Amino acid sequence: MKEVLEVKNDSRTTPVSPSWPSSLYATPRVAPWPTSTPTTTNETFVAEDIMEGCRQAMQQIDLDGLTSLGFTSAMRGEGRTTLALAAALVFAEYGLNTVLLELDLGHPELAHRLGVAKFPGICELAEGRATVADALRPVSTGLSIIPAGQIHGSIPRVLRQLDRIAVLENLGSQGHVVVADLPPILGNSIGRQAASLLADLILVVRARVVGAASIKEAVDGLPVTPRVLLNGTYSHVPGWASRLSGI
Amino acid sequence: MASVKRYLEIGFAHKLLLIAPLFAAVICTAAYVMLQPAAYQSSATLWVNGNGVGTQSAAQSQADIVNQYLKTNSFALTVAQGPLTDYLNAHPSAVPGAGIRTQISGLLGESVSGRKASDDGIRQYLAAHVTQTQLGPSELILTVTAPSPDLAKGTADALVAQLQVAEVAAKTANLQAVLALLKSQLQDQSKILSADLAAVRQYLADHPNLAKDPAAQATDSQLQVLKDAASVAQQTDVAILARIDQTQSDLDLANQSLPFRIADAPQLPSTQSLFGKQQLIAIGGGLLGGVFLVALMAALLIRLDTTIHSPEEVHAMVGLQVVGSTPLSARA
Repeated sequence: MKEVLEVKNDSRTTPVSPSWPSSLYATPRVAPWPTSTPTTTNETFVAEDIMEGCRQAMQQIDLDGLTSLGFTSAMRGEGRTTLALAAALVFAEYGLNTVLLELDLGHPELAHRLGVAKFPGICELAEGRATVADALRPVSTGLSIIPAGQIHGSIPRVLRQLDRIAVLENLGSQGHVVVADLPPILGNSIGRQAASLLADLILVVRARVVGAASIKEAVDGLPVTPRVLLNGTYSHVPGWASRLSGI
Repeated sequence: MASVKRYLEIGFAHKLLLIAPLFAAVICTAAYVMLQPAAYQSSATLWVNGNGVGTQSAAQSQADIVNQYLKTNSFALTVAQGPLTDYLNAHPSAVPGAGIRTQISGLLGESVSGRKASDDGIRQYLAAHVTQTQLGPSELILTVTAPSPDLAKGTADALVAQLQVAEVAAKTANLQAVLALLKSQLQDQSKILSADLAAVRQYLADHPNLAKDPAAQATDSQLQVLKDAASVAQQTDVAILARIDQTQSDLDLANQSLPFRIADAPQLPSTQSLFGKQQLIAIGGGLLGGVFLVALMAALLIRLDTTIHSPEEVHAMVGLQVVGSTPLSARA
């Protein structure tokens, strides 16, 4: 266990990607832990079929003027965090200097999933207890993450503070493309407040789960009209039924 | 095509929910069939004489006649009198149209005493437990299903016997009526004849000289009138008697020429019948009901499902631009 902690601590200070415990992965496609010469691929974090879907989706987005892109959803559990991570990995593949921002402050899990230290992060940054350089953690080539950090006050106050100190603008001016994992919109006001910080929005919709009325309610009143990334589009229809019906 | 795909997606996504009503209907039907009393079948094979009506075969015509008889209370009550009526009085739940509480009591094996099966109930029970099968143009099988072997055979025997009686009665009814009329006419005519003969005798008694002189009788016009009247009455009487004899002969002939003969008499069934008419109807009804419930559930699911299934539906349903789609995220 001590060895594990040491490896994790090393990952905070060096840009070399560690090898991740298999229980933390989207799909367990990883070399056995620990390895002396760890190698990290995008499939280590996100399953390849999801990565491929995300690559095709991101081709629909104009990357030239892109500064920040938030991933939100109407409800929790629609695959928002996974797709934000996948999009960040895709942007890094494209050679963009990408920062993954964990703005789902109430339910942070990216740091845990990527195996980086949970703080200092956004909260410390907003409260002036850390700098961007302190909070920024390299994950792989071209990709860094700013985790949620340790929340002390209220989340709306942290979000207001982030807006006030213009963290996203600063990152943009440094040539970073920010991909943010936002909280869901429905259920509280934090989702809309966090979404208002981003220039572009992707609404993750889980197929066959969320009704059209909920999606419309979530979208209504957002400062930016989001584009939809449909998640979970695998078909329930077996092959024989598809063949019989001719679809 | 897109809607078909959507319907299929909804159907296969909720397949358990869709199968559940059908499964429940099958379970209920199976329980109903299992809780039904034992069924024994006794059959009689009839060879129908003569030709059918119109294009119908003789067997088909006879089957129609049996159906008509089974719709009358008098025929059904005559067939059912005795053991079958006793059984129905003791088991009111077996009678079609019994109340739901009576049905449940019957299924649970509770005895319901003090109730007498109605005439209509007995008729409906008999109609529901008699099946007819045509083996050929002249061969008809009547099958009676009953809860015990004795009851099945006894009812089948009674059915065939009553059918014979009813058929003969139908054929001889006109002749019986004609015979009764002729007998009535004969009685009237006998009175007329007696009166005419009495008038002749009275005239001769009043005129003693005529009784001893046949020549004088021949010349007495009044006596001739009386004798003529008596003679006509006698001839009429004889004619009526002749017609009665003819009608009686026709009646005897009709009584002897049965519309069918029994090729195989009903036998005492030795084994229980697994799927009687009632059971088959229940199974068919259960399956149909299950399919109807499945269709109802499918319509309900399609109606209530407002979720997005494919990228093509995004713009149409929520008016947003779609950038792409991904398979299900394992961590979602």
